[in-house]
Amino acid sequence: MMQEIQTDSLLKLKDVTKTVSSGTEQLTILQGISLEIKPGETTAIVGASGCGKSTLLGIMAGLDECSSGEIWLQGQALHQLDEDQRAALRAQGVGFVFQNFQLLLGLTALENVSLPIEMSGQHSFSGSQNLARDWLNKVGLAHRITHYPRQLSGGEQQRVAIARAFAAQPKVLFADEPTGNLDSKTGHQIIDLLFDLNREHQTTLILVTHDEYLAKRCDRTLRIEDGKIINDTQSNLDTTTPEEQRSHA
Amino acid sequence: MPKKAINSPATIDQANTGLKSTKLLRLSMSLLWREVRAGQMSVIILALILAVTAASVISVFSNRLDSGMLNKTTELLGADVRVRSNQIIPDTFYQQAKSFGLKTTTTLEFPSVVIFGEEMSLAAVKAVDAGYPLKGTVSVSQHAFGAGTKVIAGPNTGEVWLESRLLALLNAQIGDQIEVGRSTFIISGLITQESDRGGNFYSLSPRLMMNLDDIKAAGLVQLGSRVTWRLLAAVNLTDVDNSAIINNFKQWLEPKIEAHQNIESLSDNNLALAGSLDKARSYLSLAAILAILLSGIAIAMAARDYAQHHFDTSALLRTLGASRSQVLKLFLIQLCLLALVTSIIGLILGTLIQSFLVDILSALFVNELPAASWHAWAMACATAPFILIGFALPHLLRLGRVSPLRILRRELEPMSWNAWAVYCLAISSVFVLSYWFTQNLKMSALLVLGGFLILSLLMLALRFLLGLLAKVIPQQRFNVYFRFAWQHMVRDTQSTATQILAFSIILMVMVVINTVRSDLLADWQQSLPEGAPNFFAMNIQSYEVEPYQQALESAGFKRKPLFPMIAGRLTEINGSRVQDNDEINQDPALQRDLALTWSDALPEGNKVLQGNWLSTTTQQVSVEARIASRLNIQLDDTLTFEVAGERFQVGVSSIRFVDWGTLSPNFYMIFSKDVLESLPAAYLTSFHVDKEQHKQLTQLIRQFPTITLLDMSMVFVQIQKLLEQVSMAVEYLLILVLLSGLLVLMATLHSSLDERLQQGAVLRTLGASRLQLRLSQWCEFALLGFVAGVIAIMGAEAICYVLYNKLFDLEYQVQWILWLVLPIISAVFIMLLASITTRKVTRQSPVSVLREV
Repeated sequence: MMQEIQTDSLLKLKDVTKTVSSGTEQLTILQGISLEIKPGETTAIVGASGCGKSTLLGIMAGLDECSSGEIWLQGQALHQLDEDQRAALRAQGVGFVFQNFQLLLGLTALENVSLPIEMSGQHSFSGSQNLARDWLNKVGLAHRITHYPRQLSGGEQQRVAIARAFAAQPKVLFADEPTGNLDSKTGHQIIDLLFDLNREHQTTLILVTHDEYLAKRCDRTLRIEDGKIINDTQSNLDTTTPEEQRSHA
Repeated sequence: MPKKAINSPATIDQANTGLKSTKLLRLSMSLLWREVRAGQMSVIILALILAVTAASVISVFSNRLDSGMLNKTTELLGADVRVRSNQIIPDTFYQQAKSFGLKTTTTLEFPSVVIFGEEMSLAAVKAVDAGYPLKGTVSVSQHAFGAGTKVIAGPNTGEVWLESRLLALLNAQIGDQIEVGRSTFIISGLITQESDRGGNFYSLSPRLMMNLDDIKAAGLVQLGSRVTWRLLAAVNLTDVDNSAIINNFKQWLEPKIEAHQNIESLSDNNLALAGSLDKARSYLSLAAILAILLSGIAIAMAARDYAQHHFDTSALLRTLGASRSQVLKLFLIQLCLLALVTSIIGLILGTLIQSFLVDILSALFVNELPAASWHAWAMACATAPFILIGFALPHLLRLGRVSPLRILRRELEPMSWNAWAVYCLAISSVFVLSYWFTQNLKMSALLVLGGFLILSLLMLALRFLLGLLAKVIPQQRFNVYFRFAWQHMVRDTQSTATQILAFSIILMVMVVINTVRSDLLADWQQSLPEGAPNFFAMNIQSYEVEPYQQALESAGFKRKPLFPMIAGRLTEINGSRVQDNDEINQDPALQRDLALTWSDALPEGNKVLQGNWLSTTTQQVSVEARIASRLNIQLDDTLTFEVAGERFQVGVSSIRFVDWGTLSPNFYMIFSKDVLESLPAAYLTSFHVDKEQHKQLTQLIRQFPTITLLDMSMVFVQIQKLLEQVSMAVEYLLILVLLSGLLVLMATLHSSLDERLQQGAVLRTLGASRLQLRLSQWCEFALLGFVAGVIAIMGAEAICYVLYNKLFDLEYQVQWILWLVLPIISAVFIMLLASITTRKVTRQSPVSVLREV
């Protein structure tokens, strides 16, 4: 039976642990992670390579299962859902942006964006095409909608990915090193776009990053070390405009 | 930031999320179309088209050829079904045949004396009714030994047709009147071809053909006359598959056949052809199985490739919220679409190619080859789905198991099937297909299961060996690029072993199919060499032996040795009467006189299987192996024979294999000279007469009128023509199988391209030159090719040995030269092919490779 709770949190983790067995050895990747993320909050997860931050993102997004503990996403007990139920949940309210863009190479920009809209089951074929076109407009790619990913630059590919992520109107957006594959100028443009859209659509944003600048722009920063949260800080930088922030930086 | 109430979904509505069927179909089509257009599917498309083309050509063409050959066979029988009887054949047989939709005709054969003026001769009379000839060809000429024209009916009443040599014996001309029985007939034609003649040649005299309606008036057949009635039945149409009707009629007949009747088939007539036809069929079947196997390998390679290329797509779709089954469906739909489209293209190509082959052969076939049966087409259509299920499904199912987490951790690969399960599925599908193709359980089992067993052992051995070599060989002595090549081979022994095995299977198939073809053709050539005897002379009395031999030599005919021939019966085995033994007393060899002979030397085409040849012994007999097994005669048994009222006993000193395909005089029983020497014997010999030597032949017939001469030249020409056709078909099938093999090789090489591209790019980034990279690759492939060549020749020898012994009944010779040549050729060939297939590795710029891979 699935449990539902009424809560303020959009995402709640309670004592989440992840262990994997490597041969005879048990490796603990995450231990005793508890946290709550409120709707509309932007959260950065930072830490050194291999600290477990990507694993945490995967578990929060329902891409992976935890070994013990409880995870509640949009009021659903994620730890009690099977893979297909989690997939359905993702289709309804979860968006993703990845470091390596993860566009389907065989599809055009338009088709890549319309795919999750169709999959959410809320729009017809033409409806999803129109919506996708609007979103590509918003990210400034109106002139490239029929291009294939390989014909686009890295920044353009990430814009398509962002359009795809927002087009399905997710309640929560997970981003894994969204600027990791981009030069700093393009990276900043992408971050601006991400945060603008986020603010506009009141999406909850959870991102994993190495980029301190990016982390600072979030409401909250979770620092992970050896599978544990060692620091949870709130910042209020989101009141400043991006331009102001850049001048600070 | 304002807090927002959580709008939590009451339930997770799976039905409303993800992809509905129509969307799934559209998405599948669009994904497929993009990938096809981007050229990402070229290998799998080519492999599938090739598989279907090869399967359809072989299944349809061999089916047509098979029925073409069956038509030839029926031509030689003169019917699809032939019933022979000593008495008039009951009406019910005719009525039943008609109710099955078969045409029928009746022939009556008996020996009779023919008189023309002072001359007389014994003739083999054949009286035919209005329906004759049903099948096959009867040609008649107006000149002695002249070219004949095909006729569609037998002689009119009051007329007879003779064989040229009977005309010579009687010293008569066309238009002369001859006496047969109480009537007189006009000679209105000379028979030049009678395709359904066949028959037991020990009793044959020259042919005289007449109308069945004349029999009564001539008073030729009375109670107790030695006659043979035949009912000939044939289907009306030749262009559809009628085997069912024929089989139904045969099944109906079988229980009704009495002791004096029997259903004749070609093999009963002991013609060399039956054996050749069987071998040809087996060869076609073999080619079919091997083509399926090759296609299967190609598909498996391509499917694995396809799956691996789509793990990321699958992970992304899962991340975006598609369920396992939706993702799986998405890919399965693409595969089905692919199978459908490639099947259509393959079938069209197959149809074109097979009709091209048929066109080439049509010059050789008198009649047009019949269309293939629906069965052959069904088989061609089923090939793609069947091979996909057997070879591609296990790989594709992995796509449904891709974890969405792969999107974050690329190294995550879905669990693969248990290797044994993958192999078992592939084997089962090849086995089912090959059995369906060939209807030959033995061959299918032999090839598929035996092959699998050997391959598994080889796989284990190879991995072990590679592992061992990796430890033993001191790598520091190689230069960096050779070391790289070597490390590439030994790092993943599983994939290296798979690649080597794939190469060796393909080479093995090529060697097997080529060896079998050459030996089959040689065997056929040998059974009918240039200048083989085409006339048999019988009934030569002992005083005629010398002058007849001289006459043959002075006429310039190439002759074989003379054999004495004495008619005798086998009456007892180890003192017990054969007629009292219920197990064997119905055997035809005990129902009639056997032709007994003696000889000091083992005749050509004979081989002693058990015991010793008769050279130094007395009172001994050598028994032919098949009759020995039928009558349960063992070495050292005592046999009692009766010849002209005289009884004698002999010991069995050897069991002998006889090649009945040689068309030279063959004997069941060969005695030591002392046993038969004192008995009155007639002699038998055979010789070759060229087309231009017919004048000398006429003279010989006149000179020795009492010697019975049997003209086998017509039968020979027919057999030779047929073998030519079959040989040609075999050649084309070889080309097709070889082509399939070549393409599969390229597919195999292509499947490792991605990894090579990436490695090449990295190496080049680190400063390796193109030449160095190329050298490294050449080393690796030459080594792979060499090992594959060694395995291939071992495997091919083993397979050929088994096939020859169990299937083709041929003697197998180890091909030592190939042991030397094949590994080298294979190394060079695979190296060259690889450098063509993987030229992208050195051509493409490292940056673009690293960006794409």
